[in-house]
Amino acid sequence: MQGIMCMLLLAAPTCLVAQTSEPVQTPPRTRHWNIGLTAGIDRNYHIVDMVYMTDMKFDKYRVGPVYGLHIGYAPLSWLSFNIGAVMIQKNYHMDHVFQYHSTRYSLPTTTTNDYINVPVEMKLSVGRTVKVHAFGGVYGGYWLRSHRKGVTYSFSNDRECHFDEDIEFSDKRDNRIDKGFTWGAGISGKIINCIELGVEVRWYYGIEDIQKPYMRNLNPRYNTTFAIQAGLNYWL
Amino acid sequence: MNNYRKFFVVGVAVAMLMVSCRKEGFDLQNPNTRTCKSYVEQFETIWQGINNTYVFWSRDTVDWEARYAKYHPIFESFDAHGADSAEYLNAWRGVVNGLLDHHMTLLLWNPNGKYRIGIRAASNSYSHETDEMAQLNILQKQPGILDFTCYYVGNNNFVNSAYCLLPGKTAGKYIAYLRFSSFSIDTMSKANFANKDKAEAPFRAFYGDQYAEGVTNGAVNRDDVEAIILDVRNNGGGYITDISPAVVSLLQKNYQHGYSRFKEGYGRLDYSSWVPVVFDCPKNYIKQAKPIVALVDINTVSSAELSAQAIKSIPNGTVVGERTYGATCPLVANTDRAFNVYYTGCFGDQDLLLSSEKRPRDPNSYAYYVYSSTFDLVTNEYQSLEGVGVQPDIKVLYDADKLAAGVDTQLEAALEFLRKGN
Repeated sequence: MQGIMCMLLLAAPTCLVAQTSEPVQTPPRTRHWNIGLTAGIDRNYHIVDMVYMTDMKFDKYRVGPVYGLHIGYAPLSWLSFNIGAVMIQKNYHMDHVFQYHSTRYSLPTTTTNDYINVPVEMKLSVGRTVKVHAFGGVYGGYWLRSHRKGVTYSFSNDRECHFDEDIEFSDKRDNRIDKGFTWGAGISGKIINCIELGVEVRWYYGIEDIQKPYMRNLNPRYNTTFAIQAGLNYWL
Repeated sequence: MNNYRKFFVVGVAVAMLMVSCRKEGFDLQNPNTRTCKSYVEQFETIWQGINNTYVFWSRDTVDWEARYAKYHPIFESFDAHGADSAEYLNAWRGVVNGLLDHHMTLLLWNPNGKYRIGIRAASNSYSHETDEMAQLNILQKQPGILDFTCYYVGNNNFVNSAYCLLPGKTAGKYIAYLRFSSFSIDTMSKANFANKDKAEAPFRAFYGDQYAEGVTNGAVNRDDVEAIILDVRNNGGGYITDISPAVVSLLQKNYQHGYSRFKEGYGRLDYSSWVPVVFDCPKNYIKQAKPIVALVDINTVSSAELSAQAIKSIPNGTVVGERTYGATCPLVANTDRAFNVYYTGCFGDQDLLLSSEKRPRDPNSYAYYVYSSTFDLVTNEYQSLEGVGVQPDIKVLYDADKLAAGVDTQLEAALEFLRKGN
């Protein structure tokens, strides 16, 4: 990631030089390709129906970082196609609150899930110096890592126990393939001729159950992730 | 502009398509509270309850889906044509046969005949009845016996116990022997019942007056007691809270058995984190480390097995006898209290087990109670003893013929080991 940042920063002065050294009367070259970096934060909604296990609450959300790079091709000034690779966390928080004898227990668990998503999308733009974009597409992904941290209960001495551990993926249970739709909107403006700065909001709507259908009577679990990102585009 | 309109329409269509791409969930009924009105409902509820709450799905090899496919039509035919008690019993045996959980017992109410049946899921390749009275008769002939009692405490808990001082390795020294049939020691100490003093006598003699809190002025703290035998043969287990005062007090330090986990969802593999299982050493513990033997047999179950494993874990501890039963994972039998805490283990109408009448709350329903482990438990090396049991250091099988002839071979082996050191 650091290498790509350096490459873009090094490329920026070249772009400035290229711009200033061109004769004034020459029409500006149309640039079709761009490469960019984005970074931001996301907030994930873990969609699961706990049916009769009503004291397990998934109603608190956790934010996570999101960052990635993308390549875009713009055949027209208002239309472009992007493909990217995004590291994104789809985290969730579960609170198990219950009464046992006269004591009220709260056993929270925060699960951090690292994914790589590859969105492919079409972007529509309006405006000249400042552009407003709307985009939509599909994404595929892969679940890279899962980690959980929280509090549980030890029966032997009636105490709460803290844990902080990576979750080992189960070939039988975990569906590590992710896919879904992505859409959003953003605004961008060129700070110099070939460098564009932008911000966007985006949803990743997963349609892949994170569990494999390994048993009867298993309600699906999905992730819906909302991200706010800022980015830098370099037009080639 | 026309293009934008087209894209807008396409975008809305895609958004609607996306929402429909997710699978629908379905309602799962709470197996702890469901009232069944037919054979097939009883089957479906128990099947689903085990499907969602059973704590051993990560290891169990039973094909549970195949059991559904095979037995669902059978229970449907029971509703259509009726079933006699033998058919009913055999069908349920088939459903749970071979499940790993060695605690698992199904208590089923058939409202047609108003009868209750009980089925154990596990079957042991090695099993025997224990002639406990013959063992106690032999013990009473040993020199130095002080007390032997057999008392029931409350509706469900009983402690059958014996205590004596047996001649030790050194002249004038003794081996303190305690036998008890149930880990209901704390309950006994708090209960009021006829002849309470007599029932408590073996424990007071062995541990001391505060026997439910560990070792105080009992025989095990005496200087002339050089070794200890804790006889948990034919001990069906009981309250896990007894392990600290009754066993860990003899180890002089906290005992970590291993790790436990329960469920955090209805998926078969939705497990909580492993947490250490530590039994704290009570503040009243034995003053001086002494050789300890746990005497066990195939009918040593549950808490009694954990006790044997605790004794096996210390350098001065030895397990003598047979491998234990293999029901090593703890449970909470009271479903009204525990099911919604752990979402594992026992579920159903606990009156079938715990009430004095052993009848369901609704005798016209196809009531059920599934008695099953609440926690998965492994050793410090993450080895499960469920279905395996605790292996003895000195293996001595139960010998009914010799017992009938007045020789308790397992006790003899324990005494020989402590007296000769081999």
